[in-house]
Amino acid sequence: MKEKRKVLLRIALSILVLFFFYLPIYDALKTSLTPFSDILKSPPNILPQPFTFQEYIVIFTTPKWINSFAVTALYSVTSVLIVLFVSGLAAYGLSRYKFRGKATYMFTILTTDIISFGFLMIPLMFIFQFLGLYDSYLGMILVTASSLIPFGVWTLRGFLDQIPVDMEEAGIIDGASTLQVLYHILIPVSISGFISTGTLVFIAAWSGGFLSSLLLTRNETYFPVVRSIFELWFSARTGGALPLLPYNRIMAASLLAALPPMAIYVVLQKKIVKGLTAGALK
Amino acid sequence: MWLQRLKGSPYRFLLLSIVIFAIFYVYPIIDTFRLSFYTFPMTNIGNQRFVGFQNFFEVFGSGRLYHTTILTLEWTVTSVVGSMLFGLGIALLLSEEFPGRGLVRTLILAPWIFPELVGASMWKITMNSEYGLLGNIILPAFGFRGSLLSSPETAIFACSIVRIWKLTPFVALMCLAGIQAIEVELYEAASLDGAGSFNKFRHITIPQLSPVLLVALILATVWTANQFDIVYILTRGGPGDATKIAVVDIYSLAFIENSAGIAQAEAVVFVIALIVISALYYRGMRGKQS
Repeated sequence: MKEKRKVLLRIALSILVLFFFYLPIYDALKTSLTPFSDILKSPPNILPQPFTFQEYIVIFTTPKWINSFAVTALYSVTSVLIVLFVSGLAAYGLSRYKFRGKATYMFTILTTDIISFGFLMIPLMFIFQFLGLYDSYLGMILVTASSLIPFGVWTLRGFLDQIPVDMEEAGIIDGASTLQVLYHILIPVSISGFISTGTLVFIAAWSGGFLSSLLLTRNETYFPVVRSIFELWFSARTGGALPLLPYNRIMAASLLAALPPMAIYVVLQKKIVKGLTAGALK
Repeated sequence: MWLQRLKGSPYRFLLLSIVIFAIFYVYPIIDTFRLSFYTFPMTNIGNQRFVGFQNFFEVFGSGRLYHTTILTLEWTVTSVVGSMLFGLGIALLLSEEFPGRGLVRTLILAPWIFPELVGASMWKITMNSEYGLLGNIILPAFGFRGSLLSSPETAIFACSIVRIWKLTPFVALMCLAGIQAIEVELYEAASLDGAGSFNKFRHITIPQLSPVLLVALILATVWTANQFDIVYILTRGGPGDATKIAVVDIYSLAFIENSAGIAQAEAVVFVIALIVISALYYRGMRGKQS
C-alpha cells in the first residue's frame, strides 16, 4: 500500500516537471496554429481555435525562409566536418603522445572553451573584415566551426583515451604508417565517439550563430534561421506605429527551427548521452 | 613508450588547431587588451585614437561595470543554483522505479535540444501578460498580475527561468548517469547497517556523485556567464539596463551606444576574470589526476 502511494507520487511529480518543461512548447505550438486575426485575443484561447496551418505554409513557400534553413544546414554540416577533422587530429596527438607544451596547449583549450566569442566580439569582427569574410558563407562557417573546436578536442580526447594502444602498436609492428593506423585502426574503433561528438557539434552549430551573424553579416542571404527569427521579432517593432508582431509566424518558425536537432536527438539519443558524459564520468 | 619515438613529431597533429586558436582566440584576446586603450567608432574601425586609461576610468567611475558585474552574478547564480537543485531532484526521481519512467526520461531532454534563441522566443510568448498562457492565465491564478519581462524587478529572474528550463535537463542527465554508476552494494551494505534513505542519500549518493556535480556545476556556470541569445531575445537588455548581463552590455556599448573602446575595457575585466577561473579549474583538474 505504501509502495503504491510512492509510485503515484513519483508519477504526479513527473507530470508536474513535464508541465513546466512543455508549457512554453505547447503555447508556441498553439500560437503557431492560430490565424493572425486571433493571436491578439486576451485572454488567449487554451486550444488553437480557430485553427490553421497558414503560417507553416507561408514559411515553406517563402524563398527567404527556405534559404535561411538551407544556409543553417550548410553551416552546421560543414562545421561538423571541420570540427571532427581538426579536433580529431589534435585529440589523437594529445591522447597518444607526450610532448613539450602539452600543458600549455591543454590550458589554452580550456580557456578558449570558457571565454566565448561574445567577449571577443569586436576584435573578431575586425579580423573577419580584414580577411574579407564579412557577408560571406565562409565567414559564418569559420566562426561556427572554430567556436566548437575546443569542445571537439576535449570530448574526442576523452573517447580516444578510453581506447587501449595495443592495436595501434600491433599495426605499427606490421609496418603500417601512422596515418594508416589512424584511418584503418583507430577511427573504426572510435567511430562511435566521433558520431557522439559530431551530433553534439551539429546541435550546437544549428542553435548558435545568432550573435556571430549580428557581427558578421547584414545581408539576409547569410542569415541562419535563429537570426531570421530574431529579425521577425525586430522588424515589426520598428515598422509601423502599432507593434503588431506576427506571433504565429515567429512561433511556427521557432518550432521548425527546433525540428532538425530534435529529429537527430530522437534517432541518436544514446550517442548524445554518451558524448555528454564522456569527459565527465571517467 | 616506443610508439612515441617511432614516427615523426606529434606537433603535426596539433598544427591546424593551433593555427585556428591563434587566429580566432589568442589574437582577439590580445587585441581586446590593446583596443581597451583606444577610442574608435564601430562604423570606421581604422580610425583609432589612443586615450590611455580613460576607458577604464569610464567603466569603473560610472558604476557601469559594477552594475553589470552584479547583474551577471545574479543571473548566473540564480540560473545555476536553480538548475542544479531542480536537475538533481529530477535525477533522483527518475532513478526510482515507476511506470512511464523511460518515456519521462526521453521527454525531459527536449528543452536542452531546443536552440537557446528558440526557447527564449517561446517563453517570451507564454510570459506575455496579454496573450500568453503563463502570463495571462496561470500567473494571475496565483495572484501575480504584472508583466514579468517589462518590470525591472522581475525581468532578470524571468530570464533566469528560461535559463533554468534550458539547463535543468542537462544537469538531470549528468546526475542520472552518475547515480546509475554508483555500485548497488554500497546501498545494500548501508541497509544492512540500518541506514535510512536520507542517510543513504547524504553519505552515499552525494559523495559518490560529487565529481559529476562539480563538472555539471562548472559547465553550467561557464555557459550561463557567457550567455547572450536568451536575454537579448527576451529583453534586449531592458527595461532600462535591468538585464544587461556581461555579453549583452558589451554588445550594447559597442553597437548601440557607439562606445566600442569602453566596451573593450569592460571586456578586458571579464576576460581576465575568466582566465583566472580557467587557471583555477585547470589546477584543480591536474591535482585530481596526479
